[in-house]
Amino acid sequence: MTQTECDRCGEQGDGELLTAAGVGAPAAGVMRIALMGNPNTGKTTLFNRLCGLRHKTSNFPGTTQEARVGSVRAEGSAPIHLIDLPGVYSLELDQHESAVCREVLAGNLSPRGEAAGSPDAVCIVVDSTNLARNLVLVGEVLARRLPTVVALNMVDLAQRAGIRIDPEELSRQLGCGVFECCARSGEGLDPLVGGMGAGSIPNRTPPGTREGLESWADEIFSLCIGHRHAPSIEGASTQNTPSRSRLLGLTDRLDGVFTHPLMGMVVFLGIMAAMLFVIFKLATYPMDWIDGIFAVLGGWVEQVLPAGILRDLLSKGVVSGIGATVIFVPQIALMFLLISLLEDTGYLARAAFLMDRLLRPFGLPGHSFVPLLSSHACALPGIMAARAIPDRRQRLLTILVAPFMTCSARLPVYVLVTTLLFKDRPGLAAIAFIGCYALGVGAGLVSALILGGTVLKGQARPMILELPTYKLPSFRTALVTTWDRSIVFLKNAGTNILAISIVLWWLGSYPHVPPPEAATQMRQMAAEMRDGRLADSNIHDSATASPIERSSTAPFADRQDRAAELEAKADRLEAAHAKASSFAGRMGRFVQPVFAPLGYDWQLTVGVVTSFAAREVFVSTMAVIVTGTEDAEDEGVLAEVGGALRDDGTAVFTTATCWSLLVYYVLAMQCLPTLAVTAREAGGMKWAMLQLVWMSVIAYAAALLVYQGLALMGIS
Amino acid sequence: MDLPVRDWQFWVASATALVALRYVVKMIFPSGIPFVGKRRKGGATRAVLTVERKPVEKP
Repeated sequence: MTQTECDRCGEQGDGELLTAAGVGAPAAGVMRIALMGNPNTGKTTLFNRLCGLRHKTSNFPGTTQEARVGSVRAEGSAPIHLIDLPGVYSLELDQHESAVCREVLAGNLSPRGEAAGSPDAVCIVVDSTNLARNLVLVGEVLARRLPTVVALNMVDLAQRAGIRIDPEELSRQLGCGVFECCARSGEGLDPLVGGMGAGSIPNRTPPGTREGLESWADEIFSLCIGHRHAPSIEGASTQNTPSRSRLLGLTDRLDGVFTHPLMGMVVFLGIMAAMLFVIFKLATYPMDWIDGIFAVLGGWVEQVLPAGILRDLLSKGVVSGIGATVIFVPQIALMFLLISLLEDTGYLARAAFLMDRLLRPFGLPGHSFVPLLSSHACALPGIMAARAIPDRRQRLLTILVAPFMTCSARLPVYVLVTTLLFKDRPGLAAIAFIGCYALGVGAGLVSALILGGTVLKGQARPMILELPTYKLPSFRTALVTTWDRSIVFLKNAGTNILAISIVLWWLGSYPHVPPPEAATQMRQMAAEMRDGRLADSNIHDSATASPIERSSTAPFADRQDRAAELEAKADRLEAAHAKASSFAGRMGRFVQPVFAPLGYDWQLTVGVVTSFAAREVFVSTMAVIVTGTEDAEDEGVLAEVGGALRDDGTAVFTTATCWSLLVYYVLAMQCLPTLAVTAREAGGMKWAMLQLVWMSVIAYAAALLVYQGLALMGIS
Repeated sequence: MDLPVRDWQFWVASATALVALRYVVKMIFPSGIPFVGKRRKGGATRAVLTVERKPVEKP
């Protein structure tokens, strides 16, 4: 990666940089240490343990490779900036991650915001239970002649498995410092940090060839294993340890179930069902709180500020825009917490292995499983998670089909339409709901198959995946990861959705139009009613007196209530009329002929058009157009929306229209932030455009097929 | 078409919406809208070689 490339790509990488407290560009006297290791060696756990929340997440310029830089507070040594590099098996592989590591060690690449140049030292995290293979990477790094230290991680697991490594002998053989540690419990970290600060250039040079390196690793492994009992880290017992075969036997027995074609699938479906249940059940509470908080905040803004355009902009554009993002955070955070915990146990690797069998026929690797799963909360983190897929072609395929997965923003539309379709039949509504999820997954897989055979034609790379030993997850690591991901989501999606909300507010608020005649009449009636000049037959049952006489005899409070009711109706009528006459409404009316074959009238089309940027605004837009109020969660408002009439007096939401709308929203790409993230992660706008056109065409065709098919069957 | 052009708040709100729109466009087209705006010729920049702030004469 050259600097020119970095500068060129840097234009696309903006918005991803996130600064956490305590971390910035390194000052003079700060050591920069690269943290490396094979995948699943506990590197991330070690990073989280050393840095906690004192880290920032950015990317390497010109790449989509995530870069985390953390600040380590070390006593008696210079402050350390730790750069978390991607996990790799070798520096020499033809893989994105290996290339990033090579360039960082050579000083050609630094995380965004970090000074250029080689790191001052390298810390290689090694899995003590798998030393021989990990030593190959150690040898490759030692050959770079940078000050190096080796962190012998998971030493507790190794001791429990009966593996005894002599760190002093290993240090002699490698010619660099070796420190035993246990990142999960935090033991042995102080000497390691001290060693990082005092790392020296290794005095041994490993062989330069791959074969030579493997023999060298095997030789060192045999020299360092079983020489003598390794000094025990406090708390990690070396007595009465079960044998390695017993530990591996347990892993094998569990794998026999978890990776079994049938039983494994049953377990997998059970875990996924439990996970989704927990996410959607538990997230309901914080989502309700957030909804309430932003409703109060919007109301407070309306109370505090004088009536006017700026007040509307703040309460309806800014506050609701921020609220629209923050409300999804609980689901996304829970999803990441559970994924992180599952990953830490070692199960996620088995799930990816299991899913590889199912996804492979569609051209997707098992690695795609986590991005597709994450996309069920929100496509943005899902697409970003596709960075972990080593093969570019498969990564692009995953990115292109990820938005087909049902994200949280689609749920309000599903709720509205399934409620209208299956009123008083919750069982059928639930089946339709699940059907929407299945349709999204199915459409994604079929799309992957078609795109993989056309625009992304190529040889599928076999999935090579290490199945780590099972272990208890670290809640601390999961929390740090969750925090990190949630902040990235808020930063990326939040600013985008806020900007879109403000634009939509403007388009939905202008131009101003005179109120409709009916609203003016209602206001006039309300005014007369307040004065007692107008009667209302609902107030009294007396059939003998004239209306005016009745009104004059009606109780004052009743007259005021009725007048207020009329004024509220006039307000709603005016709001609906203003929305329909706004720029957004006019756009909807203009493109209505395009959506007419799907059964949509101008009201539905306005809803579809305004939700092009963010699908979650569909229900609130429909609520405003039909009822004049934005409270789309009110059951009365939803019933009113369901009973909306077209200009010719027929119902807007017929059975055929509802099915057509449901299918359209399952398949359509109605999310601008997703397009932006696709363009950035895929490396070009053409991929985002392909995604938009592909999904829009499929959604339109499927909705057309459904509507016209039902119409042919006589179902209107 | 009735826009409240005499209300200063309208202009503040419209400016805010324009900034937001620019952000949205920039988000979708980070390197500029295709076929819109000036295209840079060849992406090259002419530079003048100087030594101690004085231009170096061509040989």
